[in-house]
Amino acid sequence: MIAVSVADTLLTAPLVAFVVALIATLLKFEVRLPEALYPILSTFLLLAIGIKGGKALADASLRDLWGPLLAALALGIITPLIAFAAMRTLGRFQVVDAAALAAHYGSVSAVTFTVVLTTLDAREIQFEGYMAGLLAVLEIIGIVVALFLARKSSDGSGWKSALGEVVRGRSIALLVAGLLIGAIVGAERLEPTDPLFSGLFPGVLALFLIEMGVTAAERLRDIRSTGVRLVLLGIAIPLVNGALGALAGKAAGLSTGGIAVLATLAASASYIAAPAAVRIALPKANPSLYITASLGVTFPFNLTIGIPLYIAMAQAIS
Amino acid sequence: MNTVNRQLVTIIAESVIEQKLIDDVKECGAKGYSVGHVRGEGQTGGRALDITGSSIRLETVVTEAVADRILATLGEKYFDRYAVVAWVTPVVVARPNRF
Repeated sequence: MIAVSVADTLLTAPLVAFVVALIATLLKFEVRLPEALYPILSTFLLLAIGIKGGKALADASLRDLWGPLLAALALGIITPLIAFAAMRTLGRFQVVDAAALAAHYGSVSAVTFTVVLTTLDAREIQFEGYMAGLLAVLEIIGIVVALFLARKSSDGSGWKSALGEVVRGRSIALLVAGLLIGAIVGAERLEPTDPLFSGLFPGVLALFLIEMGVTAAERLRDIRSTGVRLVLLGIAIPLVNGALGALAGKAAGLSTGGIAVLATLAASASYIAAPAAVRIALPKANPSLYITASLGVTFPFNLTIGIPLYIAMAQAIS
Repeated sequence: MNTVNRQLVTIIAESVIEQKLIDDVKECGAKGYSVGHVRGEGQTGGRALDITGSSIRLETVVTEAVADRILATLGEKYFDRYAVVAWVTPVVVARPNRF
C-alpha cells in the first residue's frame, strides 16, 4: 500500500519537476530559472495558500478551530524540544548549533505544506481547509522556543530583532495577508480570482520546485563536510515529529487528510523564516549545518518519502 | 567647482543584517547611504549564507571622523559574528555640506 502511495505522490508534476531539477543539478546541468522569478513565485504561493485557508476560515466556527489550534500550539513547543535533545545527545552538537537546528525543525516549511495539499487533492482525500492558519502559528512558535533554549548564547538585542524578522518577514506577512483576503472576501466573491490563485497553483508550484530542486542539490553537495550524523538526524527527527503530529491531529479530531497535513507540518523543517531569524539571534551557530540539514536532507526526504508515509500514518490511525 | 575630501565607506555584508547595519551607520553620523545586492565569495563561505538573500553592498560618503566611528562599530558588533568586510576610500565630492 505504501508503494502505491509513494508512486501516487511522486507522479505529480511538481514532484517530478523537483526530482528532475535535483538530479540535473547534481549532474551539473543548468536548469536554474531566472533569479527574478523566484520571489514572484514564492509571493504567489504564499498568497494563494493564505487565500485558500482564509476562505475555509470564513466558514469554520470557533468550536471547530480550538482543538486543532491547541494541537498546533503543543506541537510548536514539543517538536523543537525533541530536535534540540536529539541534536545535543545523538548529534553531539554544541548548544548554539543544536538550538539553531531546533529552530528549523520546530518551525515549518510552507512549500512542504503546499506539496502535501496538492498530493491530497490529487488523491481526492479531503482535509480541513483552514490548516494554512495553523501553518502561520507553527512557523513562529518553533523558532521562539528554540531561540529561548539558546538565550544564553544570543545577544540581548538579537532576540528582539530576530522575532521581528519572523513575524514581519515576508513569509508570515504574505500568508496572513492571504488569510485575511480569503476570510474577508469569502469563497463566493473570490470566484473571479480563482483561475489565477487556484487554477494556476499546481503549475506555479511545479516551477517553484524546479528552483528548490536546484537549491537542494547544491546543499546536498555540502553533506560531505557536515557528516553522516546530521543526515541520519535529518531523517529521524521528521519521522518522530511527523508521528507526533499525526497523533496530535487525531486527538484534535481532524479528518484523515487533516491528520496527514498536521503530521507533515510537524515533520517539515523551515528554510526561509528560521535561517533569517537564527542568523540574527544566534550568529555563532554554523549556518552550513542548519541549512544543509533542513534544505539538503529533510526537505527532499519529506517530499519524496515523508509525505506518502505521513498520509499512510493518517490513514492507519483514523 | 568647490570640492572637498571625504571618505567613501563600503561595506559588503550578508543581507540578513541590512537593517541593523543601516541603523548603525546612521547612528554613527552618516547622512545618507546606498544599498545594492551583490554576488561573490569570501572566507566565510558565501554560499552557505545566500539562502537568506544575496549579499549587500552598503556605501556611504562621510567625514573621516564618521568613517572611523563606523569601522569601530563594525569591529565591535559585526566582524566576529557575521560575514562582513569593509574598506574606506578617499573621494573628492562636490557640495561639502551634503556629506
